[in-house]
Amino acid sequence: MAILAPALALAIPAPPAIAQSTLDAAERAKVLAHGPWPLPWSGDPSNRVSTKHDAIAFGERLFFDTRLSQNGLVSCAACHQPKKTWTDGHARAIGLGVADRNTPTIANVRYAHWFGWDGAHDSLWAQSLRPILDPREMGMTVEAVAGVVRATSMFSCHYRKAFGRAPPADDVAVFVDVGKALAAFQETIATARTPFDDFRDALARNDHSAMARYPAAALRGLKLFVGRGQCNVCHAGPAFTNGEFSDIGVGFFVAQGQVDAGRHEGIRKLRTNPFNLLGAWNDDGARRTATGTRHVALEHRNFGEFKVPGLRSVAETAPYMHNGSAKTLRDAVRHYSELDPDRVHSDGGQLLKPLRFSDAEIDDLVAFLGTLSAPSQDFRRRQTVEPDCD
Amino acid sequence: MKRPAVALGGLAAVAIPGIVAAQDCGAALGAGVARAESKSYVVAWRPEPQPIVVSRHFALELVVCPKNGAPQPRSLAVDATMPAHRHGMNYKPAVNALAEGRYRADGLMFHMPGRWEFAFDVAGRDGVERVRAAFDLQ
Repeated sequence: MAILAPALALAIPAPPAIAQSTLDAAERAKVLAHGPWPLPWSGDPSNRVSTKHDAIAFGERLFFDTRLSQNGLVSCAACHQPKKTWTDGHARAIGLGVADRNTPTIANVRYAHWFGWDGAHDSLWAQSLRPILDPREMGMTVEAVAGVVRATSMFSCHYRKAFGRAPPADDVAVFVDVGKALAAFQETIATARTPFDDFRDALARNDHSAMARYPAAALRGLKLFVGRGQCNVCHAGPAFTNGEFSDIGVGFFVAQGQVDAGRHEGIRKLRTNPFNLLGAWNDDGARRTATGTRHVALEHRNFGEFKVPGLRSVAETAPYMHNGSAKTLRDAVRHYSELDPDRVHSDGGQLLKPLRFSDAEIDDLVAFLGTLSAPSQDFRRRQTVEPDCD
Repeated sequence: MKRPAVALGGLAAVAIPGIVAAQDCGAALGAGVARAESKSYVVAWRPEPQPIVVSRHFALELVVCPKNGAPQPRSLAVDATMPAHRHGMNYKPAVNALAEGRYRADGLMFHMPGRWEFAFDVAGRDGVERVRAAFDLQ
């Protein structure tokens, strides 16, 4: 018997993963709230060419073309690089110059209701126009963009196919349509299912053997994420963001004497932007997606707030924070662990406290966040351009 | 167990008219109606769309019922906060009066899961009376 016992121990698979996969009812509900994935999506009613094949093809051409920049060398893809999960790897975006903020990924951007770190735009098409005009990014003018579209036979051909008419004489109309074609393309970029999604769906159907395939460290990290960390309060839902804004105590000085006011300035810009959803360029007469623009409140606490980024594919989008100040995912997690609550501007909010994670807990959280990436997400340019558009 | 409760409700309705108002207030709003009350008013509301989802705008269809001899409300204001976080919504709702005692509030959004608290400020004859109601959002 003394010999037999060790043999049995070898023959029977150890059950630690199943034991560790036990989540209490509250944890289970919180984990389930992060799915299912992918989310349904049916297009942007404010953009009449959203989901249209020809507009997507035009938008893709525009996205990768450098002719929409002042020096002819910068495209949207200069910062939103497919091989870097649609980011650039720099702390702050580099176009014609160096911008103030980190390049966010455009993956899953179709699910957002505010756009940009400060939410200064309420539609993807309006947001897509901003970097084209920014002198540190692409440095163009409305008139120059319209001129390029009209003067370039390939662009004007694509424009005609996408919008059913030749580029009009109205520069602003052409410019806005460029934004709408760019948005139609970006709306197609969504992240695939991940190991977390497999675990979450297994949890939903009580499939313990499938749940046991989820790495133990990731599961410990997930429990911290929805538990003591309360990360899921802001990084909520299937996209791991509530789409809103928060001050997490990251510095907001961009240069000596200059501050980045974040959401506070974003709301002010939104309200004066002629391309916002309350304006004439919204293609949806019912203004169905303009509720946020109509009701958003400007408050003192918005100062220093920045967009809560989605966490899908987060392991591939370093550096982090609105100014790229966290070089690694571990640094980003450590920020919350060592947070200085005195640096958080709020009206007495008590959500953010230093979490004092151990090194092992930080490892676990990083392991969990790693499971929000799909194994392979290669992007391939479309090969469907009609010959008569070249 | 349910029958005695109904009987008790009926008896109570005779003795205290306000109880009947509390139970019936906003019944026309249909399924999913919730109610809360203060000294002088019952507020019944129903979210549109249902259910309330994190970070998705919703409206409230509301009915305000006076009780204990209170007059019809002069106006209604709607807000919501997360008491544990000491913050409110990122949006300012607009309330429109539809008919006597009936209102619609547009532009609400709960941007975090957790406990929220509705605040319905009913303006009556003697000032504003606040009706509070907790709401747990998963």
